Amino acid sequence: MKLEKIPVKGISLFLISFFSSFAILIYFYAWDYQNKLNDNTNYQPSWLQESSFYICPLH
Amino acid sequence: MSSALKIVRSFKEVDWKHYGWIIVAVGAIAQMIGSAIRMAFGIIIDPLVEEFSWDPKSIGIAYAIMSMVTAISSPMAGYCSTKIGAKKTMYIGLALFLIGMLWTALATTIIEFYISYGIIFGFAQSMFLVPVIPAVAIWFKSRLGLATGLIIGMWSLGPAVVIQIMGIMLDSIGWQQTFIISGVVGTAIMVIALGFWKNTPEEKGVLPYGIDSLVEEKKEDTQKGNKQINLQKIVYGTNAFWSLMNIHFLGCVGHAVILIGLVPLMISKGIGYTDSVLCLTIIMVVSISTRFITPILGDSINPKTIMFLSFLGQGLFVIPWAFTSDKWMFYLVGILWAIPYGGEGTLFPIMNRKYYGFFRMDTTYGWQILAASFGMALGGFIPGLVFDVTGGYVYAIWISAFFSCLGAFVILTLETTKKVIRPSFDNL
Repeated sequence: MKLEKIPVKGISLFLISFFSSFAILIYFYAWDYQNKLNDNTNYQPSWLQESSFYICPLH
Repeated sequence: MSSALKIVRSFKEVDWKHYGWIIVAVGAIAQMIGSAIRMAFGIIIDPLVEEFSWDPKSIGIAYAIMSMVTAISSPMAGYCSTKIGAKKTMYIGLALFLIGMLWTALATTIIEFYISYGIIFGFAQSMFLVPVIPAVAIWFKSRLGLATGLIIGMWSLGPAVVIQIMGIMLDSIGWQQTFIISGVVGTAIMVIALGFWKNTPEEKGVLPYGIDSLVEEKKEDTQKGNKQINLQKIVYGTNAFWSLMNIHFLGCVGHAVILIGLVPLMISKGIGYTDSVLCLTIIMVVSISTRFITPILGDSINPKTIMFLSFLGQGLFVIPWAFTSDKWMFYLVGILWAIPYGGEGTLFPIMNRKYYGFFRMDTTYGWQILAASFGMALGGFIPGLVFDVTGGYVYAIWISAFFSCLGAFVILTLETTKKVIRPSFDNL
């Protein structure tokens, strides 16, 4: 069968949505961690909060 | 206006005696039972807490497992339907449904509950939900909008009726008996209904609706397995395949945030619980009508335009909720929002038909359901997370608007629906 061209536009838009979803989750998890850290300096974060805080450029 | 008149007039020309409408009726019953599984969850939480002292959060995990299993198994259900036919796939779903109902009723540990409700029902749901619409599409060369509108309308109406009945039974005979009786009765109804099911018009010895001659039917013959699988590879190579999955995901995030977050949002703004639930009920009732009408409009006018307007409406009409605290304003916006919300998810079979012609869409539709299920899971999760962080739900409203509007943007990038994407689909 003839090799099909890669659907660049469709896959790119799909990836934009995928990364936007992750960006929103990371932003809110990082915010959550910051709030809890402000309330209690000894707060033990979950791995999700800690890694989001690490990755998020806004927190 | 003239298009609307044309649609109304064309109803008189519908041939209701065609066997395809029996298939629609059976499909509607299957959808009703399949979707009721999901909706029944809400009514068993309290009895489970009372009887086993399990905490609601642990019980909620079963629902999350069920949603994930349904999502992941949807493409599998679509593939299964292409290979062995919709009828056998639905029989597998039915067997799993019965096992799941009986096992859930007899479960005594939380792990058993996760397996019976989470895993078994998860598979049962995808086996029920995925094959129906693509199978109905095989029966209808024309009038697919009306056929899918009827089924998707029942998808919303069915659970509402089933839940009421189950609620009454639960009060009088207890949750375990309710599950056992519902499982046995639901299975019996489906066994009878599936007796009338034919996978293809060929099996029944009739032509698909809208095909007038055998010569034309020969040209439309797409039922042969290997040809289907090869064409599916071409579908994977189209932008529309990825974009439609993406759009379904974005739309589902957009409305799941509202469906989960609206009542808590209203309560956080000082509106009573009963009034808040009433707003959600109004949305559900109004959306039933657009679920029915939108596929018909899309099929007759232009599905891409209707889909774009639905997504845009779903995105923009939520914004007033971020600013208002007035109960009546919530109701008014609720009615406005329900119109595009009801129409947003119903056009995918029509889009598949326009892009891929009279091609079996089981596997493609399965992937779209996978994306939609993940969207529902993410959208359902967002309001709680936003509340934890901000102490309110306003950001959730903006997130919902963002996802729906991004969906509208992706729709704009789709190819025209006036012709099939590749000549291969024209030659089916």
